[in-house]
Amino acid sequence: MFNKRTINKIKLLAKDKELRADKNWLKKTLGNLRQFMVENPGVRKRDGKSHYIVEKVNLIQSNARKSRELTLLGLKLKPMPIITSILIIAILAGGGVTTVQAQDALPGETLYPVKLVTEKAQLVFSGEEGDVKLHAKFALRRAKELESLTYQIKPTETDVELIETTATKLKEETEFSETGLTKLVQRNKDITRLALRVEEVTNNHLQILEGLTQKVPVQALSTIKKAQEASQKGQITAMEAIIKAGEKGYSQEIKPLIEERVKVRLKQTQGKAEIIKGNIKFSQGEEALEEDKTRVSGEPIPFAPSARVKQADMLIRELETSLEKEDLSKALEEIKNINVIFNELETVLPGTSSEDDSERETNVIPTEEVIIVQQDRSGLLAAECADKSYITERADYIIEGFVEKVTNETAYPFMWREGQNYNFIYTDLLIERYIKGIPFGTNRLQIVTPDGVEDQPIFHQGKRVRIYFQGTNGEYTIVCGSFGIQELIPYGDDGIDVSTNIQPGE
Amino acid sequence: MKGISKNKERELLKEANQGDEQAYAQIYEIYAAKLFRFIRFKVSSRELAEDITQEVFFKTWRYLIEPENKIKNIKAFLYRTARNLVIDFYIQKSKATLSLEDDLVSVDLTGTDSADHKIDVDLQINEIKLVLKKLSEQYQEVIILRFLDGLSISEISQILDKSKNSVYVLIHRALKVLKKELK
Repeated sequence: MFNKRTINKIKLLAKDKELRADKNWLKKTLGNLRQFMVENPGVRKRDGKSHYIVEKVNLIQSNARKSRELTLLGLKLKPMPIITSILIIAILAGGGVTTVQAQDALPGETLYPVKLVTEKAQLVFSGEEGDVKLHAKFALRRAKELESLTYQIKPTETDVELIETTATKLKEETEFSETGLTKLVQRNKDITRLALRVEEVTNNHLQILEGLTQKVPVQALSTIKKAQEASQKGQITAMEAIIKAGEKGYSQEIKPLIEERVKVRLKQTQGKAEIIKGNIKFSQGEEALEEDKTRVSGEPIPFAPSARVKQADMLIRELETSLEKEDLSKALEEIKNINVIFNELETVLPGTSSEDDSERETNVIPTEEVIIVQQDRSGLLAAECADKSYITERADYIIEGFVEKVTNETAYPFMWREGQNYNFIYTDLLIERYIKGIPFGTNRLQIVTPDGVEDQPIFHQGKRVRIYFQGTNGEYTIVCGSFGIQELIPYGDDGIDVSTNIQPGE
Repeated sequence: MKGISKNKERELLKEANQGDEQAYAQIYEIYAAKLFRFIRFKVSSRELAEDITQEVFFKTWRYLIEPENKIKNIKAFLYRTARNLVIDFYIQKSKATLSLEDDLVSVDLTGTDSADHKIDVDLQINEIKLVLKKLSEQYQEVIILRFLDGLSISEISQILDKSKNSVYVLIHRALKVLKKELK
C-alpha cells in the first residue's frame, strides 16, 4: 500500500535529531516542574467516597488542631450561624455524601444552598490569609456558575434573577477577598504568594466575565458590569500588594513566579490592546487612533480613547523593556497602569460596556451579530471562481478581519466531553475594515460552515482574512466557497499584503 | 519513559487529578519529549520549543490543582495546551505562518558517522520535512499527531476542537496531498 510507505516516511521524523528533546534539558525541566509543584501545591480533590473520607479526616484533624491552638491562645472561634454549626456536625457525623454531591450544583438547583453553606463552613476555620484565598476561590466558582447559567439556559425571568443573584455573590466574594488582602498589606505581612494567587484567580474570573458581557440577557448586564468592576478593582489591589512586597526585594523563590506572571500578563495586554484598537478603528475610523475624539453616545468623557490606547501601547513597550532588564517591580507597576487604562476604556468603548439598557441601545455598535451561513452545497464552485474579478464582482461585501475564535461547539464549552459529533464550525471574526459594502452595525461576524464538507473554507484562529460574501435580508453566503477567502499577513501594513489563498477544502 | 499501558495512564491521571505531584512528574516523563517534538515542528528555535514545552506542563498543573477542574484525557489536554500556547506566541509575534523553514537545511553530510545508510535516512527526513512544509498548518498537525505521535482520532478531535468525522476527512486529504507531493 502506498499509504503505508508514506506513513513510514513520516515516522522517520522520530529519528530527526533536531526534533529530539535534549536529555539534560528534560532532566532540568523536570526539576523545574517539581519546584513549581512545591510552590503551587495540589489540593487533594474530592473523588468519590474514599476521597470524602480523606477530606473528613483532614477536617477533623484540622478542627482539633485549630481548637487546640485557639484554646491555648485564649481566643474564640469565629462566630458562625447555627446552620453552619449544624452542617459541620452533620459532616462529621457522616452526612458528607450530600455535601460532596452539592459541589457540582448550580444556582437554582436543590443542592446549591448546601454548597454555599459548605463554603461558609470552610471559612470558619480558615484564618485571615485562608479567608482571602477562599473568598477569591469562591468568586471564581461564582463566575464559573454564571458562565454555566448563561450558556445552558434559555433565559426566563427566573433565570435572569439567578444570574443577577450569582453575579452579586461574585461581587461580594471579590470584595471580601480584596478587603482581607488590604488589611494584611496594611499590617506589613508578607503575602506575596497569596497576592499572586488572588491576582491570578481574579484575572481568571475577569476573563469569564468579559465573555459574559456579550452573552447575558440585557436585563442582567448592569449587575454583571458591577461584578466586573469589583473584580477589576480586586485585581489591581492584588497587583499593588505584590508591588509593595517587592519594595523589600523578592525572595529567590518568589522571583521566578513573578517573572512568569509578568510574561503572561504582557501577552494578555498585547492581545487586548489589539482588540481595543480594532474597536476604536471600527467605531471611529482609522483616523481615530491619530487624533483625539472625546465623545461617545453624545456625552463628553474625561479622556480620549485613542489617546489612552496609545498610552497603553507605550506602557506595553516599557513593560517589555522592564522585563528584559528584570525590573519586576516596574513591570508590575506598568501592568497595573495598563489594566487601569483598559478598564477605563471598557466603560466607554462601544460593545464593551454600558450602565443601562437605553445607553446600550444607543451605542455606535449594536450587539447583534451578523451571521454568514454556508449550507452544504452553498458557495458551490463554478469555473469562474478561479477568476478574482468574478468573485469581487459577485460579492456584496468584502471585509477584512481577525479570526478570534474557531469552534465546533454550540453549547457551554466544556472542553473534554467525549463521543460528541458536531455538524458545523463556528468562526468568530473581528471586522477590521470594509473594502466593499455598507458597514454593519456590529464589529463582529460569525461564519457557520458545515464540518467535513468538501470545498468549504476552514478558518484558523489568530489569522487575518479577507472574506468575499453576498446576501440580503440578513442571509449571507461566502462567494465561491473556499475561493471567497484569502489569508492575510497578520497586522501588516493596513492588511494590504495578501499572502495566500486558503486552499479549497482545507 | 516509554510503553505505558492504558491502565497505568488512567491510574496516573486519576492521581494527578487529585493533585499528586509524583503522578504528574511521571506524566511529564512520558509526554515531555513527544510534546517537545510537536512544538519544535511549529516554532523556529529549539530554545523557544523548550520554553513552550515547560510552560505546557506548568499551565496544566495550574489547571489540575483547581478543585473545580478535572482532566479526562491528559494526552489530548497537553497537546491542546501546547497548540494554544504556540498560537498565542504567534499572535504575539504577529508572524504570518507557522514555519519549518529554519530547520530544513540542516542535513549534515560531512560528519564523521556519515555512512551511506545515515545519509539516506537524513535525506529522507529532509525530504519529508520539505514536503510537510508545503502542506497547510492543519494538515501538518493531523499528520504529526496521527502518524508520528500515534494519537487516536478521538484525541486529535479534542485537540483540534473538531468532530471525529472532520478529523478523518482532514487526515485523508492530508495524506492524499502528501502522497502527491512525495511522488
